[in-house]
Amino acid sequence: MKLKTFFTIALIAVAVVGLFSYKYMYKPHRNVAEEQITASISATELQDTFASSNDTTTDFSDKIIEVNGSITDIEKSTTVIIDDKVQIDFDSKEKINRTLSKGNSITVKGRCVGYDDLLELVKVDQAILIN
Amino acid sequence: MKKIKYILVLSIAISAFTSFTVNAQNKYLDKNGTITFEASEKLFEEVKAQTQSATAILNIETYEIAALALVKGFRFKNSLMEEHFNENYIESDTYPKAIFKGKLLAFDSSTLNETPLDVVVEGTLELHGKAKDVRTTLSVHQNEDAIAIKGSFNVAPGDFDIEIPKIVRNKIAKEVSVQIDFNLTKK
Repeated sequence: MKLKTFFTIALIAVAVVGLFSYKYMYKPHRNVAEEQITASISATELQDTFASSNDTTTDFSDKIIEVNGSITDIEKSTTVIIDDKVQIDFDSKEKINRTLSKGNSITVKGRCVGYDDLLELVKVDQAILIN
Repeated sequence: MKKIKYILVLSIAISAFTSFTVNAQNKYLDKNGTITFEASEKLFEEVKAQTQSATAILNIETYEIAALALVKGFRFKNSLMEEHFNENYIESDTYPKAIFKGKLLAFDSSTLNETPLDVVVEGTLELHGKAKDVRTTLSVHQNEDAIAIKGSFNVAPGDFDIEIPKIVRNKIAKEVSVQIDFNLTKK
């Protein structure tokens, strides 16, 4: 009888440890839609913060931010450039309305990846269209 | 005399201006280049990441090529792996970029057509604060108005002072294969 309770407890312990380690190892990716934004900023301001600092890592990299500006270029269906300063790569799951065209003012929420100093562009990925 | 001087200045100005605009037209670029790297070992979980927002610039006059990838733009299937890659291995907060600068050797853009051409590229890859010379063969072809460049090369984490801890050493390949896929359009 004692042995049976011991095995039951051991089994439960193993299951719990297993479940937690599985959850830790295979935790889901960040969810841009659910995460709070750290800043709401214009494309020009965003590019200025990166361009003016010598170090390319400023406070915004890897943060979820909201960026606004007008579309200056459409690269492909999932990528637009706003104000020639920020490249927005939309999340692959995000359905982009075909109404997006050059000159449109848009606001997007996404993850700021960093600053591309070859093109002097700030890159934002996993973006979702807010407005 | 004054007139000659005037003409001279004007012609210099014009030639300087035209050479400038010609330069601007010789650049092909891609803002959505794909770079994939893989260091998987058999029987273990796949170690593979991809970015689809790498930048590449090719000057078709000098055949200089530059490519930049933001390290944080690399996405893994496993988010914990992505986290460890950024924080412990490549330290993307300190070293946010991977840059390749090089030159296409023995390449003539006038011979470019739809059939893929093997072109040797030589240059330096810089990441994690370390630089390494890379030489590989790329496949280059004309894709309508664009120039498509594909290729791959191998690097080792040790080349860039990236230390792999003992416990995961046999789960990560010694050689990391890097694949590139660019589609450059005239700008």
